[in-house]
Amino acid sequence: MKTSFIKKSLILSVALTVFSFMSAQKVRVAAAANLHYALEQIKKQYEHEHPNTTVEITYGASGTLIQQILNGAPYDFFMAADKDFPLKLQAKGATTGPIRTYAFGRLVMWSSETDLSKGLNSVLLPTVKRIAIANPTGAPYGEAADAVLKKYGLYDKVANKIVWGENISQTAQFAFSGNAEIGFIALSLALAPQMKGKGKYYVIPATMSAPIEQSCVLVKGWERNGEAARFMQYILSAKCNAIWEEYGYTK
Amino acid sequence: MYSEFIETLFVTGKLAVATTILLFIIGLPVSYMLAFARFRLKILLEALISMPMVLPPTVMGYYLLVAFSPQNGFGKFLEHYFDLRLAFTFEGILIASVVFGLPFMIQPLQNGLMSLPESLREVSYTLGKSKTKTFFRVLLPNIKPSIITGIAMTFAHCIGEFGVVLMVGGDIPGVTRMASIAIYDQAQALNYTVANRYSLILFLISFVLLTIIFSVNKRHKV
Repeated sequence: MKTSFIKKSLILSVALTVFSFMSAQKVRVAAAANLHYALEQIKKQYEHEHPNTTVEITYGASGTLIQQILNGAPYDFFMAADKDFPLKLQAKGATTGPIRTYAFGRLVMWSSETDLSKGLNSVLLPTVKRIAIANPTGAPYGEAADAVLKKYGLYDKVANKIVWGENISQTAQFAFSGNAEIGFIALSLALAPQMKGKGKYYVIPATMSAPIEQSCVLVKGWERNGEAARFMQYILSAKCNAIWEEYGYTK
Repeated sequence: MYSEFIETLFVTGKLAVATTILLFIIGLPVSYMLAFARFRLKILLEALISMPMVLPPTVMGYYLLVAFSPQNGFGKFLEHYFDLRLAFTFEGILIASVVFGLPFMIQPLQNGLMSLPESLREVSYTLGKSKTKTFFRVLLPNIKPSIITGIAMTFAHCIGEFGVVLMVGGDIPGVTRMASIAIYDQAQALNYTVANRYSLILFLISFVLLTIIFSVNKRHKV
């Protein structure tokens, strides 16, 4: 009698677990590294509103991510740090549906100790021995930093001080750990709880470096997962505005 | 593009050669001590030296990055007294790869020395040769295959290094950009032709080195 009760409840619990797994939806997102903190909050909010859905996010340089997608990595949704990478992916026939812009991000200079009041020219200070920039081939924020230094004739003067981060997070970590005095990073990272108060940042004025248009697109094959489209709609909706704003993005 | 390709291969080769030379110099006394000396905590030292064989390179990369930072004790000391900063320099990745290559040099040397019959040393001492002379004139010539194995393994392993260099190197062309990192960069930029070229070269070098090791060991076993 007793054993059959245990058996029954065991079977029931196994059945329930299996059932809940089957009904649980999963959205796999490939996201640019600058989104790290903001997107974690959006994920939390989304999962709270949609308890049956889990959002799995992989962060990396946009270049790394499209490389992975083109080689068959199972992502449903790609959130890039610019518009070019989604376009590249589209050109290779790896996307479905339109490319949509979800936010504009800003490039900042970040430093734990160096005085940034001279703006961009702070890179010339003698105390600055290393300047961290994300690798421009894969990271749009690195590309923007590279471009602004070249535009104002500073690049050649500091070329021997530049160290290249693999993505924008590693670049931030180079500056955060003090191994580089100045890091060119995304405003969203400078505003992250981990970095806030640990240093100063200077937002490169929009006239010098235009806000970076960050776009997203569904990856071909997402159709097996209707939840991905719903997540994309959510990202674009007004429900996320407060979070975008908190991390310095504009719409 | 072409000169950058050569430059990166040159940096890779330079790092591997420098690492191998330094490790050979460090490896001789250390392996001698490990093979013949008896002291407390020897097992701990052996375990510590072998750590890089099992430790993820990122652990090492992380520790070095923290150690090199001028915000912390060691990094501050170097900066203050020697005006030296190790992160993102050739010297920095050289230190990293020397530490990471320790077991690949020391283990073969130590095993070679331990496999020699004890009588060899004793005869040499009896004939009035000093310890140093015995080491260089009697012991070393008898462990040639171990020396070749140690050198080739260290060199090959150094060329294949990725994780540590990625974390503390800073990917500076001509300074800390190694071929293994360049492959990653090029694959990321979808430049498969260049990635292919680097990969093929690394593949061939590693293959040749391992073939040398195996043939040397086979010849001397018989």
